[in-house]
Amino acid sequence: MPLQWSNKDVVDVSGGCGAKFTVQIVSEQFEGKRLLERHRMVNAALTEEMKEIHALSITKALTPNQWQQQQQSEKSQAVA
Amino acid sequence: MAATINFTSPTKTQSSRFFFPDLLGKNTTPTLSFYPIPKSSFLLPSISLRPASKSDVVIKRRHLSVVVSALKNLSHAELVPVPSESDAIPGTFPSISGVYAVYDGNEDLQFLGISRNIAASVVAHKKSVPELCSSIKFGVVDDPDRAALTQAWKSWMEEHISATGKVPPGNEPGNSTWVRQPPKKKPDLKLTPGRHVKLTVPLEDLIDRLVKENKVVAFIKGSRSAPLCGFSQRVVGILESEGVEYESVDVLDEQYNSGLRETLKKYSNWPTFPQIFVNGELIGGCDILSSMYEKGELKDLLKK
Repeated sequence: MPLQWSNKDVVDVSGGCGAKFTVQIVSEQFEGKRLLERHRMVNAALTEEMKEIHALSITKALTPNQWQQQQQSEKSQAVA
Repeated sequence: MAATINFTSPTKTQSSRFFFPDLLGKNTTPTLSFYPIPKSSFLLPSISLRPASKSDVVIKRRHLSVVVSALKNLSHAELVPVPSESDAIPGTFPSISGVYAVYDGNEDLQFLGISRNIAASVVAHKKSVPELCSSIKFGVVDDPDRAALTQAWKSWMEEHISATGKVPPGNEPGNSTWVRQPPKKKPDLKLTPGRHVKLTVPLEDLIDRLVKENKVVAFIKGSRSAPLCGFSQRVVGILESEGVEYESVDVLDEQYNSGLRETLKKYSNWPTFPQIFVNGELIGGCDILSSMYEKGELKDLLKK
């Protein structure tokens, strides 16, 4: 099953060559999966792209719930 | 005078598939191995930047003979009790260089040492092994030259051995009670005895055994003392800050871990390095380890 995501944030950190990225991704399919499995899913979804990419850093792989919690805590910190 | 040290120039054996092709093959110093292999030793000649002038040598020699003749025999040196208050130690013993002998409560010699600051050494010993530090004999060797100190130490050691037939327990090889060892980085593990030795077991089996026999194993680029990629460096940093015992394997070591990268990728079904295994199971790479570390999950995992 292809990986579905509700939110993603891809940043090109290659400094121009377009082969180095960091990814933050939120998906329901991460529910109940360990971080390693989540990363595997992202890597699998990007198999073709990975051939061109030099380095991919998955900085966050969250479930929608975790994402919301994080957004909220960031918000409350921003307010405080 | 300029001293130049030439390291063997690294040969490019790989295309630039990897981050640091120029550094490949440089790391050949680790000594721990699953197989007995001849130790490769690198002898760096000691380089004196200041040519010793003739007058220098003469002065030193004269000085040395004066000092050694002034040094009392071990048996004639006075046995001075170590004050129980460590603040009082610098007033009791001189804060200059010399040889010293530590005696326990039964007046048995425990350790013979040399120091640039006798009082400071006594303070340190008293703090780390108070039960063995009852009294001290010392001989001042007022010479900055280490050779003079060593000579004084030797003369006391020889005197003690000829009198008792024994080496003080603290000076026996392997005893680390008295000498603070500099924190040594463990050597990296090697998977094979060398690239030209035909393996009798598949590399997968060696990997399998390695990760199952060791609680924490990090496959990194470069050695643990000098990681060659930022991600590997971060992994080493995290593991060390957790204070965890771990083994490291350099996946760029073409000499002893030839073929490891490809085989390990298949074994773990994980495309990149570093890779960290705990209890035989892949935890992930740098991103996962970092994330777990930041959330405090890593500590729990390593406790298991």
